[in-house]
Amino acid sequence: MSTLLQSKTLGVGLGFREPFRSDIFLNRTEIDFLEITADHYFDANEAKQKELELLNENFELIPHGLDLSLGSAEGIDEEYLEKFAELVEFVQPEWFSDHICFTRAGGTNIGHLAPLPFTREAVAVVAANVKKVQRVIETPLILENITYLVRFPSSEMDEAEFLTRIVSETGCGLLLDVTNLYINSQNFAFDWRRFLDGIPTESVVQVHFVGSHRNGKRLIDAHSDKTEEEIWEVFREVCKRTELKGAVLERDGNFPPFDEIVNELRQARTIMQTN
Amino acid sequence: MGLIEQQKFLAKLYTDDTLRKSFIKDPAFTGSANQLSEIEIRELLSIIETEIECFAESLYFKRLHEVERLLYLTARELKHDFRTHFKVFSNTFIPDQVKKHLQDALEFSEFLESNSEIEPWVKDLAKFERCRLEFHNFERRIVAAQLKYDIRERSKDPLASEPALRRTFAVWLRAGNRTFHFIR
Ligand SMILES: [Fe+2]
Repeated sequence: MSTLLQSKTLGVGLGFREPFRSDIFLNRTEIDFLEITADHYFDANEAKQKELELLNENFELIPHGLDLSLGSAEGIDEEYLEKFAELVEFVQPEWFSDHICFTRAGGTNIGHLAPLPFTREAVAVVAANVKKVQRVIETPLILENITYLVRFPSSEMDEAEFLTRIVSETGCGLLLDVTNLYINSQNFAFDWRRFLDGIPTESVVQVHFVGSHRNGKRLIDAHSDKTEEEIWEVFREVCKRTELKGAVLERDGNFPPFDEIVNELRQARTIMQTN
Repeated sequence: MGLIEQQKFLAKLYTDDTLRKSFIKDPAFTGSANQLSEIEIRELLSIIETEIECFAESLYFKRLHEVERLLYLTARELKHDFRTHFKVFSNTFIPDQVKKHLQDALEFSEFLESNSEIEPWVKDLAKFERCRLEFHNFERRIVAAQLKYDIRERSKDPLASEPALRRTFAVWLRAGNRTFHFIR
């Protein structure tokens, strides 16, 4: 956390996606920074490398990983970590991030973020993997909460306590995805305010936000909808409880006219500044 | 036994239909064959038909939707059969590269191209889409596909008549920042 305290506040950013390529330059003053998907620039071809250079020259960048698999009990993939380290070295970001989950085990790549049981063993696994990352990459790593459909009967604590223990064992800050929190609270009928009471909110460095998506009986994180009032409410509450360094709109599909994106960024900025 | 073995088993359960079915059918046998203790077997059994199935399904649909998007012409022609074939394919192949959906689409296209149940001109369409993806995603200077059928009209208009048997070449070229494409 000590290095994170020295990190500067970035403001309100956008998750970079290829369809935004020209709009981000036309709306530069509306975007304080960009979050890039780290994996897309590993072994980058010439076009991707050029894109990275262009983005890096024009925006503050934060690399966000998908596949460090910090919850893998078998340990993390060294080659992947090496590539991540090279990217961080190139970008020189204030911090970088990945998720509290596992994405691979025994040679099988699940292709998505899979949840961990909320146990002391899993806390220890995440802590050991994070230490390994921290030995290779000095830039602060922050950790994101995921949505889950699977809950393990063997869990020894709730998610808030699980995150709290991970923060205290690793010294990492949190990337609190307020949409993921809201989705989980709706799918599993818990009060997100009580969840916020249970985590060290002063450790929340950055948030993610986007609308939730209804799929039958459940809400899912499709990243394809406009942020709804219920999620702005969670965002507002987080801002009241801590001084965020960054907030990122994470839109992956069903792209609206860019004006709508800009409006959401403005709304987030207003909330951050007034709370 | 701990989290290592449990995660190995879960990763397989999430991605393998057949294993899920055999675990439901004979949990003791499948569980112990995968180094699970009795307690762990009981735990996973209590959530296999609800939460694990639900997660596995969400992973499957995510893959399917991405591949449908990448191979949209083939998907449009095969309609429901696209999903039937993808179901079979998805149990035999799990992408392991960074661009998972692209890898999935390329492999699935080859799977269709070698499938005797698929109409030959639809195989050509799958081949056409595979080559287009290879050109745009691997920075190739040139990609050429030799097709048995003339798919030009049908690829533009799903209501056009079935492609005629006529040898055709689809070519993609890159010169500097510009790309060119023609079918002849
Ligand atoms: Fe997120």
